[in-house]
Order: sequence, then structure tokens, then C-alpha cells
Amino acid sequence: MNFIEKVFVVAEAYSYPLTQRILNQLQLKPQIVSGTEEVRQEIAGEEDIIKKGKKILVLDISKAKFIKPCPCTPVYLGCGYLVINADLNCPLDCSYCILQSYLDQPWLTVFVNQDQLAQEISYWGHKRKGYFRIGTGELGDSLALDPLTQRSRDLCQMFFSYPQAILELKTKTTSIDLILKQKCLPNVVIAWSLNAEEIAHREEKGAPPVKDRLLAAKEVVKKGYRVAFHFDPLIWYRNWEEGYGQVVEFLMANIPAEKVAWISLGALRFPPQLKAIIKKRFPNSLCLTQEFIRGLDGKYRIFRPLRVEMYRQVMNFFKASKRYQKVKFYLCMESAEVWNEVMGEKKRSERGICVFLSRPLN
Amino acid sequence: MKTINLSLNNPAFQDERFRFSYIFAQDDLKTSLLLSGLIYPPWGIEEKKGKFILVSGWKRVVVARELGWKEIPFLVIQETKPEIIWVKLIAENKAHRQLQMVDKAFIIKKMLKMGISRERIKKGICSLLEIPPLVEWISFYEHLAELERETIKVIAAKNLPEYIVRLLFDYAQEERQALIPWLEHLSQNKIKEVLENLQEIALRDQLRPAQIISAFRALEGDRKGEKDLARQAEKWREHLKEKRFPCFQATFLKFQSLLKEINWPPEIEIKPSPFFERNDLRVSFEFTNENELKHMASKLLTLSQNKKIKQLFFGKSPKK
Repeated sequence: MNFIEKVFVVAEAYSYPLTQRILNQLQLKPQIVSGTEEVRQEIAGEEDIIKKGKKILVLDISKAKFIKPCPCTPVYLGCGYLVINADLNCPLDCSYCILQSYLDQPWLTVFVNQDQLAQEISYWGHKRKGYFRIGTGELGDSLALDPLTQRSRDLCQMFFSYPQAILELKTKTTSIDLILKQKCLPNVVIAWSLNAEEIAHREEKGAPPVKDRLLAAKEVVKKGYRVAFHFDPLIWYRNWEEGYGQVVEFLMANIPAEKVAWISLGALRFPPQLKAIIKKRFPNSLCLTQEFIRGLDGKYRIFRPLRVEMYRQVMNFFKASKRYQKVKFYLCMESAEVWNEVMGEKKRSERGICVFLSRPLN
Repeated sequence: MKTINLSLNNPAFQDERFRFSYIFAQDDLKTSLLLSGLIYPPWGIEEKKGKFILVSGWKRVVVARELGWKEIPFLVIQETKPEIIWVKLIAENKAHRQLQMVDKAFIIKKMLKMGISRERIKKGICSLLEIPPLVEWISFYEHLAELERETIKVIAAKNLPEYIVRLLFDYAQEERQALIPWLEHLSQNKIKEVLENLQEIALRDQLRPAQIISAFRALEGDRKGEKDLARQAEKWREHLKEKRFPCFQATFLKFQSLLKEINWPPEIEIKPSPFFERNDLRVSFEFTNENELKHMASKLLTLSQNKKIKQLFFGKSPKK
């Protein structure tokens, strides 16, 4: 974790066990502050506050609810996912990352009041009788800070008593040491965001190559975990078919289909305000060259026939394998029309998708 | 403070160290000077005994010269510190007009040239100029003042915002010079569209913008050229739109040509969902009585029986 240059601890958060654990690991002298306004002042004069923010760690307590239904996006079909906002922001620097415009605090925040998090997990664990999916990868990478926080171990312990809750830890990293050291739980799924190698190299600054991610997935599978993959965001570029095809081929050669909990596909989309940020921070990003239209939710989206073509092609790569035909696929933040075009005509609802994805295969 | 009369040939009016207004409409000022003379005399400083430097009033001096005046009143203030003189100059200008982005650019350029540090400008001048107190912004204005005169003129005339000016920075000088004659004839929104599309096509197709401009010129040359620059600018914009969004443009044209093929009546308006994002189509028509309604409905019925109508429905499920 030598990318962290400064640690701020909000006074209220200082006595929590997680704070002490992190400070012991970091060996950086923390600055105790009364609130995050002091952190904001620290980075106020920076030319690139987003970049600077990725080097600043703030330990705080969350006053809001940790667990919320995934907001998805208006008008398009959701999947009934629950998100855990335990850590905010990510040390990786992906050009397309929505967090650049979504979070008003550009630093890395770790919420240390895990007692409250445990209570909320217990609440949802008792409330939901059927299977449901829940994960930490919405407002940050689930494992990027894990060597420091050991959050994955804590979460697995918290979810131990709720086997119907499928905990997904979603990452682009290869930080799996802790995952490999602990006892594998059947309701924990380790997931990787994947892309064509060229896109990963060009657009996902700080993230390991896609092959390394898949090799990490292979290790995790050996340990007994189920894994999931998210081809999100799919980005159109010359040779995209070849690029995505190679990744799918490598994936299928290394990961047995029966260990794959689900695979999602999502084409690049982002709110208009992100464009100026990408342009400024990543002027050569291919994200700026997509054939965008304004979607029904007001976001930039790739023109429908192009995204349908990409979804179909990636699905076809998988369908080449009989074993992979049984894997559950879904589209992230897509319309019913696009679902029908890609997966075949069917009446679909968020509830139906949620049940389909959550229930075990066998 | 004293007022003296100075010949317009005086060296005070050649030293441009405090001049920041280079682009302005002279005609209104000419009319005003002819009507009421110089109500507010230009002001400056006395650097050494008898050596004056004009600080404020450059536009008036330029126009007075144009009018053939020989001498003008000149107010001399007692100040020698450049930074304080700039503060007074900016405050005076702000009292009677809004400073343009181009004005701010020249102010910063001249201050830097005088040796006033970026740090001093950041701390003491940025807020006065109503710009963020960041070195990056000072560099932005410095860059703007270094652009070629034709580009600066368009920025001033069109009152282009910072975002579009930054887009212009991304182009090489010869590319900007090729673009400016067209940009002059487009609105702010269209300028933004053209600059973004050109840049994004270049990035996507791994070309230089100059190559795309040349290819368009060659194409236009084959079509015997368009002399009217405004029309040419519009064609250039359309050309870029087609190149930038080929799939959307093709889909849209296909939709339009299909309507022609099935003789869709112009009195019945048909609209696809925005950007074909949904499958639904919307038709609308007007009627004032039962017969008109029946007539329109029968037209729609006939259209619905046309075999080609199926092609209007955009999304198709995969074959199982």
C-alpha cells in the first residue's frame, strides 16, 4: 500500500478496531481531524484532485446506511442487487470510472464502524428468506484495499450465518492472498471485471493485465470458490471482436464453467458530466470515440445496434463451449428491448432477473 | 495626479506593456469620440522625468489616431509598482465593462512578461479577474494569448467559452488556420460539435485532423467547390457528423428511405423513439371531423398492409 501518502482519521473513528488494524499496517503517522473538510482543504489547490485523492486515505465512520438497493439507472432493467458501501473510491485509475464524477469526495474512504455493518447484514439476512445477491464493488474495488483493511475476511465472517445471501466481491486486482488463506464459503463469489487486453492496458491505469486477473480467478477456483465475470464496460474499437474473443477463450480454458456463478455484459455508458473529466484526464481515451447517443436515462450510451452486436458476439464466443451454454448471463443496465434482441423474446422484470441470478444452479 | 496634453506621436503611445485590448469594434467608439470628444482622458505613469507610459485608454488612443487627432489630454498618476498599476487598471476597466476571456489572457501575458510571478498573479490578481486561483488556469490564459490573431478574433467575436477554447488548443496551428474560416460561420454549439467530432474521429481512426480536413477538401474539389463559406462550413459539419456517427446516420437514412419506398404520407407524422433506443414508433396527424379521421385511419390501414412495413420495426430477436 505504498501508494498511500497521507492518512487522515476522523476523531470519532480513531478507537475502532479496524482503524487500529489499518494504522498498524500502514506505518504512516495519521492526522487526526474533526471532519473531512480538513481533508478537502489539503487537496484544494491540486491541479488533478482525482489523482491526488487516490493517494489519500480517510478513516471515517459511516452515518448513512451501509446497505442499499443498487440504484441501477432509470428506465432500464435492474437485477435486484444490493450494494454495500463500506469503502468509497478506488486506487485504480480507469478512464471511464463513474466515481470520478459521482463521488464528491475524491479520496479513499474506509468506513470503520463494522459493528453497524454487521447489524445491517443481520437485518437483511433475516428479512430476505430467498436467495439474494449483495456486493461491495459498486463504489470501490472490493479487494484493492484488502491487504490493508482485511475487509474480505470480516465480510465473510459476517455472511457466514446467512447462506441465502450471495456475497460478491468484485475486483480488477489480483489481491487474493487473504481470500486464499480463509475457509471458502459457498455463498461467497469472487468476481472480476474483465475487458479486452488492449482496452485494459489503455484505459485501466493501475490494474493488472486481464490474463493475470483470470489466473487469480483460477487460483480462487482451486480453493473452492465460485467466481463471476463482468465484461463491463464493453468498448468498441478496431479489432474488438478479436480482443474480446481472446479473453473469452483464455477464460474458458482456465475456468471450469460449473464454477462460474454468473457473467454480466454491459456496454460503456456514463453521465454527460463525465465526458469533460475523461477528456481532461485521459485525452487519448477510446471512451471519447464511441458512437454515443443519449439514452433514455440521459446517459451517453453506444448506439443500440452496435451494443447489441457486441453483446451477441461475446455471447457467441461463450456459446462455442457446450459447458458455458449453461452459465447464467445477464445484461447490466439494459432495456427490455435489448435483452430480447440478445437473449430472445421473453417477458422480463427486475424481480425475475433477480431470482434467476440468485438461485443456485444445482 | 496631473493632466497634461500629449502628442499622439509621443513614445508614451508606443510602449504597449500595459495594453491588453487588441480586438475590439472601432466604429462605435469613433462615433462616440466624434460626438462628445474625449470625456475620460487616457491615463498613465511617468516612468522617468518626461517619459510617460500609457496604461489605460488604448482603444481611445487607437481611434483618436484613426480620426487624425494630433494631441490628447493625458492623466498622470503617481505610482511605480507594476502590480498596483495593474490592479488599478483592471478595477477601472471592470467598473464600466465585463472583461472578455481574451482581455484576461493579454493581462496575464503582459504581467508575466513584466516579471510578476505566477504565484503573485494567483494570489493577487486571479480573484480580480474572476478566474480560479490555480497555476493551471494562469497557463490556460497564457496559452490563449499565444494563439494566432485569427483564432483569437474568433474566440472574442463568438465569445467562446473556456471548454471550446481548450478544444482549439488541441489542434496544431495549421489545423486551426484551416478551420477558422469555417468556424467563423458557425454558432457556438456547432463550433463545439465540429471541434469535438473532428478530434474524436482522428483519435478513433488514428489520423491527424489535418488529414481529415484535406480529405474533405479533396472531396469538395471534386464537386467543383463551394464558394460560399457559410454553406461550406455547414457541409463540413454534416460531413463530420456522418463520419463520427456512421451507424446512426446509416440507420436514420435507411429509416427515411424506407418511408419514401412505402410512400408514407407527409400529413401523417411518424417518429421513432429517440435514437431508436426503444422499438416504439409514434404517429400523429390532425383532423377536424369524422370524415378526415376515417380518411387518415384508412391510409394507416393501407400502410399497415404493405409488406415492407415490417422493416420499420427496428429490433429483432436472435433466431433460436
